[in-house]
Amino acid sequence: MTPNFYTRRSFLRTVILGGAVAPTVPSFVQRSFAALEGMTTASLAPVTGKDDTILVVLQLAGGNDGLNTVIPFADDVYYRARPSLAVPEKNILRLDDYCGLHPSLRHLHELQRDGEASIVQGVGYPNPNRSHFRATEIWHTASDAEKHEVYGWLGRYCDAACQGEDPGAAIAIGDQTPQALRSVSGSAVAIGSPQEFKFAAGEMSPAPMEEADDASAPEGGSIDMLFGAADEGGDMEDFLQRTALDAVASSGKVQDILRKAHDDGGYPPTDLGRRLRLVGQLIGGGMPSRIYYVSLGGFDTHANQAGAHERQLAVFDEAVGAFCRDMKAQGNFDRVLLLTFSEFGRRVAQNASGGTDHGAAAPLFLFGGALQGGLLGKHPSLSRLHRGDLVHHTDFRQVYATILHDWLRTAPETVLGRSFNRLPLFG
Amino acid sequence: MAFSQIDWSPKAAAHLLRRVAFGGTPEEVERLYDLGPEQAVDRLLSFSFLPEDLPPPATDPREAERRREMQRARRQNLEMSRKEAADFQRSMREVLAEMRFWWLQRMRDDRFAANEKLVLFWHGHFATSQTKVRFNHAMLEQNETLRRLAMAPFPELCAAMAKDAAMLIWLDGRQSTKKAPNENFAREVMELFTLGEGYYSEDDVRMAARCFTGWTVKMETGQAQFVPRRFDEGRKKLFGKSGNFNSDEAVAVICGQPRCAEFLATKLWEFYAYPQPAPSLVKSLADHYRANGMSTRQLLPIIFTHPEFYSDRALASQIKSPVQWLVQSARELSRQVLTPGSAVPLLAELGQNLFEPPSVKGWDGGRSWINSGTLIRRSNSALLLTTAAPPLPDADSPEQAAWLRVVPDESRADSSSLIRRLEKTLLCVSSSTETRRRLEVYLATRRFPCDDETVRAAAVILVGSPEYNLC
Repeated sequence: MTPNFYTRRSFLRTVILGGAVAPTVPSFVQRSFAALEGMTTASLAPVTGKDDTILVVLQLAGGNDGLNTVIPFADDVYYRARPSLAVPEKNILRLDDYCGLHPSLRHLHELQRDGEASIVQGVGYPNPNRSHFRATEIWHTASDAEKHEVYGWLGRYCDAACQGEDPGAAIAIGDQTPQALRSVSGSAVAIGSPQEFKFAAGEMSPAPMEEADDASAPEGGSIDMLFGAADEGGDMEDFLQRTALDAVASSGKVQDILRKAHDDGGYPPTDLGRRLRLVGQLIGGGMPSRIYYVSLGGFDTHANQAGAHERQLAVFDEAVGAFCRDMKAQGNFDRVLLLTFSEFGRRVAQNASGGTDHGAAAPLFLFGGALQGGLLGKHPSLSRLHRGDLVHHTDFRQVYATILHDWLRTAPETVLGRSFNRLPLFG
Repeated sequence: MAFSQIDWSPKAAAHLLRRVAFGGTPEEVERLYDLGPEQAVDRLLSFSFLPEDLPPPATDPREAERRREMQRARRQNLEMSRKEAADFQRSMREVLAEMRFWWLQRMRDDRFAANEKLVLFWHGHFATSQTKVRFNHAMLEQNETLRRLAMAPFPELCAAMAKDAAMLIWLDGRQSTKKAPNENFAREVMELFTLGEGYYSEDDVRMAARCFTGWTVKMETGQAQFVPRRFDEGRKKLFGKSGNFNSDEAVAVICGQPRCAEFLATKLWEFYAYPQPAPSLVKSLADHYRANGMSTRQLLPIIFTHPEFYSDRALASQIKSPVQWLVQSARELSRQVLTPGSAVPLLAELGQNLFEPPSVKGWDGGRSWINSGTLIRRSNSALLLTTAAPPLPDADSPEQAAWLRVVPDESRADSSSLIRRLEKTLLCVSSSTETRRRLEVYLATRRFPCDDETVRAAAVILVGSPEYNLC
């Protein structure tokens, strides 16, 4: 750690280790955050900010069938390639005279009509990889197909835009921190369920603890035992101590916001609905995070695709519809951008199991009040395929570069390593 | 052999026990230390399946068929179908929970621990999830196959997996036919199970998919079966070899690639020792693996008696997986592995739900186990592990006996001997400054020789510390 990394985290450590041991979590966290508020103008210029733009990334994991999402109903090749999987033209939600949305995507269709959704067609990258894991890695790290990169594109953004290590600049909703958020500074926080995202100190007094209910009662498993000198021991131990410190700082803040959050009843009772509602509550409550990350699985439809894909798209559509409504009601829709992507599309021709195998180029969706809206780029040709796959015309890193530059206001080159032509996404 | 280079010490023996199995008490470590490294490894790896006093839970071979019937009934809106379906779903969930807990108990049992650790490795390697398979019986059969062949030559294990019912459902092999070979298994077997990305071509994937046709699952019984008319008996060219390869032969060709031994040796080393071993080390392990027909039983002692296995790079360098964290705590604290009702959901929350790896790639492991959310949950569970887990029922007053095993009388005389004993039992590093301070502040108010309550509270502080997650 370089000396000028006098950061929120090391500041917290000083406060905590130097100060008295606090009896309960919330008051302690409140105090340290209260102290922090007074310092923001000094050496700290955190990437986080209450009124700044926010990016929410939603991954459709497994390889969403782009061709049955944005459907080129005017092309006979589509119907020939997919005898049992093609969606009948009359059911398709039209976008223009050539293509339209899967009938499950009603809310998306409305958002698109109102100019609050942009669909970028034919997105991919050179030499596409058909492995879920490698393709996901490529999208998460924004690397070339031939290169391996450890840190994620959003992690690198946090590293570049943060002056120090700022716990909670990026929040992943789920039990894992996705590679996209992996950074040198380790500034991402993962929240599985909000109920669990707090220390049990002060609540840990079941029967056996009562016996020791005197001044000497241990604050068993409690918060303040979590701090250690981070410079002791090896790499892994340092990592554990740092994560513990971040956990303390961010859990207090999150709990505080969720205590005050109103319950928006409009979200569907799906996992994705719950996760996006949590994002909505954190944004509405003034959590100073700039990046949120959510994932929805179930798109790897090798067999019996029709029903499963329809259901997954409906889950996606209803949750995104609810989130956009929530953001509008909060008055935050103009400063929130929702980006969805999948690691690859699927092959044009269906397979014999009534499914589709791993493919390449696919469309990608963006939602937000600040967007220009509409369809960007042409639908890739169904007749000029590369080994049975659609050919991309827009590199996904053009989308990233546009978001970094126009939305997060960072030089894309510092994050992506080189420049990409940006797209006219914003008005 | 390189035994002379190992710095064999009680600390090394403790490391061995934690990594090869799920750790144990200082007394168990002492006994292992007395054997010396070679015999210690041999002892850990030698076990018999008998006597079988931990039988697996009963599963229903007709589960998938019943599920299908339920769905049919639901479509026809038959009377009672809704309640019946709900009952069925619940009972299937209960059986799955029993399977998970049963496996944890096997890991907890020192007669099986080393083999079960390897089964856990294979489960993460041939990662198959019940979320898609939805067939407890098939999932359990796969688990038993992994157990039976855990130490066997790898090609034998891999061939069994290619014809495993759960795997055939999981990677769509059961729908793969001569007319329409499905590439899902063919790709993953090369990318994730044997060779790794970059060591096969798209042609190999297509050809292998043809070789694996013919195998399907009889859903009425949950058994894999070969249906000759579904099999593509034509000639295929796989890695430069031509033949009318079937499933077994395709696996043999793939496992015969020089890369396969390297790929597996690396993965085993990374699971047991540390990530990214040097190429020279991989080469020596792979050479040995190959020379012994890729027998995992033959390779493991090479790993566990390698000086690198005891190097600074290896010692205390791992983050405990949730399963390791849970089972090891039970062994260290002389308690049972919680209860089915608490252990199963806890592991799911911590990101390692058995029979449900996140994808065919298995669990990423390492740092990915830990983030702010999971670290909070682990810390919050310290009290659960030390209190809710039932003590071993092998004494008149089991609770007292358990705490006496954790800290015997001779270590209860004063604060510093208590701390020394607890650190030796629970940590693989010294406690951090802050943990130590917390212990001292608490213990300063206690009377010595100390009682069980003091021991328990001090143990909670250590089990809830960040450094407790190191292995």
